[in-house]
Amino acid sequence: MTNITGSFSQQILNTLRDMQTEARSLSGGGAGKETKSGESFADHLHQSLNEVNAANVKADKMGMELSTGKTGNIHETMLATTQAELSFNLMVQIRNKALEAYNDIMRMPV
Amino acid sequence: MSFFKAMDISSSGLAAQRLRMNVLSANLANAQSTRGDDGGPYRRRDVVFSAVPTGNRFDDFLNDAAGGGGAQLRKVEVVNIHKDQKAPRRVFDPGNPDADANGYVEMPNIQVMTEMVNMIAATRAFEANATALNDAKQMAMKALDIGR
Repeated sequence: MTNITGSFSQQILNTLRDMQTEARSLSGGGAGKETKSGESFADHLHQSLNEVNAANVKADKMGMELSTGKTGNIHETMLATTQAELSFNLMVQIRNKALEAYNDIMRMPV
Repeated sequence: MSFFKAMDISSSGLAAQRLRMNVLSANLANAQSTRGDDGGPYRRRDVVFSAVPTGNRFDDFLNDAAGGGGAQLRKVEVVNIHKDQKAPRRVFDPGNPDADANGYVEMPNIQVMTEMVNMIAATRAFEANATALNDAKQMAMKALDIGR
């Protein structure tokens, strides 16, 4: 769980850093200059989505195991669901921000 | 993530207190058991808590080097369940099949009152850990509210 969510947060952080460097290069070096090849924001988002999904699947599995009596770890199950909930909320927030930015650009008069 | 780290540490506290509760329940249940597993009466058990590094050491040191302070964090773990070596209580009860030649029976070295007090302490410690976990969650939720 910690590994999944740890790398998830790391990726969000990396995404934000990439956005920062890109924004810097755009404002400094002018548009159209490709400063960084490889992973795009969409790739990062996709990966993060997969990991949020993995956290949710894990929480779901633990809930199932608890209700079928396979495990008696009430607090660990609750912890997994809480962590899944938090990762999901973070993902939703990132999505809201990205959509907001997109809409702002779409509404920009040309 | 540090929020999840706090949650993991609280979770280790919850697990440790739950195990302690199990041990105390066993003590209470066996307060009258004259036949333990080593011949004599049942002996009181207690847990030994130990502070252990959280997760992977390499990860922790890397975090520490990056200013995360991970290597200093310790979660709690039950490392041992030891038998209390106090002498058994001797009760005069000649009718008991486990009585010795003088009519004395060796009863477990368990004080029910002490066990009850320990159980209250375990319950409260569990509650404290659960509260800490909830507070970590509240902090994370507040952080997510930034800029909403």
